Amino acid sequence: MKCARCGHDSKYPERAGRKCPGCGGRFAFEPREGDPINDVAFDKALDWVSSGGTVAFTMGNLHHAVARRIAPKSFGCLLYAPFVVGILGGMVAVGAGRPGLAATLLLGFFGLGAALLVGNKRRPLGLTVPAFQALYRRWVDAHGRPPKLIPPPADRPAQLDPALTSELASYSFDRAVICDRAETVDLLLANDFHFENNCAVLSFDGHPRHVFATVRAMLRHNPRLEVFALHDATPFGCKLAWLLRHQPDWFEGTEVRVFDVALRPGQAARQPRLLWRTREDVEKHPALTDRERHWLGRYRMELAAFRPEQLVKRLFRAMNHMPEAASGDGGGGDLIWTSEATASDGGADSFG
Amino acid sequence: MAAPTASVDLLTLDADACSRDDGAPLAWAEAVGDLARVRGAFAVAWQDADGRVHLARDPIGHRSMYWGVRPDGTPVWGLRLHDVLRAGVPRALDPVGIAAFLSTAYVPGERTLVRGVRAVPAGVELVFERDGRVARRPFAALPASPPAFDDEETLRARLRATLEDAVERLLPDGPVAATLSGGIDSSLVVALARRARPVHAFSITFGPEHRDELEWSRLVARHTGATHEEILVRPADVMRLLDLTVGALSVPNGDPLTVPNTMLFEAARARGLDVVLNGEGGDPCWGGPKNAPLLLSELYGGHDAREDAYLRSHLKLWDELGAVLTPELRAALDEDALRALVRPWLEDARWPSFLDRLMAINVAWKGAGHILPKVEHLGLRAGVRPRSPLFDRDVVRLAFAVPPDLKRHGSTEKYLLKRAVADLLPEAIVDRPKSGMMVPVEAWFQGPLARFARDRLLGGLARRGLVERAWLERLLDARLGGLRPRRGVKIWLLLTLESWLRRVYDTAP
Repeated sequence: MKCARCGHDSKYPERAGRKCPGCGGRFAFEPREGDPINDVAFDKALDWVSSGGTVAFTMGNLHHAVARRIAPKSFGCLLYAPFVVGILGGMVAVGAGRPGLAATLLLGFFGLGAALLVGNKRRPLGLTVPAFQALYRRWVDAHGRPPKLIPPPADRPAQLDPALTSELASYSFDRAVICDRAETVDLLLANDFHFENNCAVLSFDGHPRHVFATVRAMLRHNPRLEVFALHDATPFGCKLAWLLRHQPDWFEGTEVRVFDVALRPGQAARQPRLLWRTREDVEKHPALTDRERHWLGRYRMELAAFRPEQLVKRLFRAMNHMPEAASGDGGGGDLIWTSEATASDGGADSFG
Repeated sequence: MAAPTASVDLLTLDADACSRDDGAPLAWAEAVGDLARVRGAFAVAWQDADGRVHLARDPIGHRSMYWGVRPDGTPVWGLRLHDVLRAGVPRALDPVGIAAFLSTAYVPGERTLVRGVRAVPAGVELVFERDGRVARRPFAALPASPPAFDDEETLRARLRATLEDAVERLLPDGPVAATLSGGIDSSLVVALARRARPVHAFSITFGPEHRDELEWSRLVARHTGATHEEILVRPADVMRLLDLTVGALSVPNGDPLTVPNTMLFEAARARGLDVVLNGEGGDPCWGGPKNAPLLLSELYGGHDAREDAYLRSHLKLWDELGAVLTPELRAALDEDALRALVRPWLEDARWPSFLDRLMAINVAWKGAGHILPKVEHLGLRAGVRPRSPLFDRDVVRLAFAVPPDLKRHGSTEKYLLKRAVADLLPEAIVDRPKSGMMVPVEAWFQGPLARFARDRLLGGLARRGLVERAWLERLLDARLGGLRPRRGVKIWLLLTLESWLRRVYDTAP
């Protein structure tokens, strides 16, 4: 097994005390002792979710990334044993003048070998939250806290200078992203989405708490505001845009345009590897078509399953095209969202 | 302030459109004793009766002056940094200056890229005392917020009158040239100038394959009756003009409009027009769009992030300095030095409003250190006199007397400025959001300028020990990653640095 720090490849007996013989660093995991993942795989999950250490991510993102890691090979060369046995058995059967038995042995053992290989390579971990948290704690004990992991809200200072509140409250912005979950808000803020795109970011249920009331009041100063609803593919998430349009403490009775960016079931269904299965009756609601209700009764998809870099780029792209793509409020940005997002930057400059 | 005496000797004077604000005739030998009364663009050096040399620059920074000290202790100065280098000041690059340039695309305040050469601050008189000290005497600080503001209508009328006066004072006797982007700032300058003179307006395009603002600038030209000329900027023009353009600058300017500016000034000169009006100053003084991210950062980020947010808002390399700079340069750089330059502005009690603090630093930094030196030096090279009515001293002073919610009103940027000139312009121009001039650097550096950039950066800049070669290779190969790589902007920034080092730092005798 390779060390995530120094790359040294060691045999199990060499890893006394779960330490790398190359650098002396401690391993977080030992698959030989039943752990479902090794350090290199966990490290790769971190590298993937942070796009090489350049993008901040949430614990939910990391959970999905680790869960998608391929299980380490635990059978080694033994996986090829059925093929060898099949060939040898076939040769003996041919030698004994029984070609029918030879064919049966070959087919049977090759089938078994193929099934083992595929199963071994394509077995996702399917981690529960407690199981993931246990793995994460062990990673932190051995390697420290991942630098781009967004701290939970309680760990962060949350104060706004009261002297500035009244001044700031008189301004407004052209755009806002409203999310169904605080975690998505944190992801956008930690990656400076608000700063880069001149838009406010809030969750429907009041996150970030220390600025929520101020920012929501600021948004109501702009009758030409554009609002982008961003949510999981869940029954509540898919009602978010509708709720924003129809609740008096949001934008009911205003001319504000609300766009449902993602994730609608139609968008989520195109990413089958990220789906969760569920079984639930979903009540009728004006925000949901019958087809969507049916889909949501069987599946869910969280935004956290997307790689954060892709999520942010897709949102950026969708926001910049959706007002043109949609003739009125509603979707219309489906193709933009589901196609691959890329960064496209010009060199903006002032010319007076 | 030195007392005006007949024995003052003027040593250096560069002045344009200057007058005394009390209506008295302007005589520089006397005016240097009371520079606060002088309106217009000036940089002046004089020697007093005691033999001391004084340097001063106008309060907004329309004109530049640089100074240094020779190894023998003799102070030297000049209108361009090139002059100070030629006068024998030892040359060594300033790590803080390099970091500032890479973070903001200019070098704010008194620093330059050369350790021993300083910029004379706007509105400050420097005095070389006989004991070698350099005394500083501010003569025109940016005004503090008033204890109470006038009402909106009074301020609107004052702003209109001040704008009209500023434009009128800056008009030549005959036809005048103007840059015209189609945004509110350049459009209002064209509209006001056109009421008194024939105006030849110039706009930039990058060819039909790239987005431009011609739809808007044509509309303004038609509306005001200005003659309109569209200048096509191609990648070949960049290769032809980059060194000439950047070589004219005392401090490099890493924004991509320098070459288009040069072409525009040359076109004006070719038409026999020697005064070129521009709309620079509207953004920093009147609540322009670049304030929005900082307001959001203030809301969400808290105080700890203020300095970083300001530096990051330039959208250059502030967040990447650790990866960009070589270990040697990083070792010589105080990591907090840039934050320390920003911090006093964002905590200055003269301006209780956060927006006004941003206005103050933007006038002092982007105005006096970035925008105005750019048009000044590129104009000097092309033989034209750029003039910036929205950076006129009286207009800037009035901006500090306007409450912040009349600059940014709800989500409306430049609210009072728009109200003051709404009758002069098409409604579509007044209402349109600011988009900025998009120079197609991404496309250029993926295509026609890719080879040029690679040769310049790997063959030149990478060998200077300033920037990590491996990082440059990742940049050029589009392997930087991240959410907004801004590859083209960064390549342009670094090409500018290399060009400036070649044309100014390496070659000045």
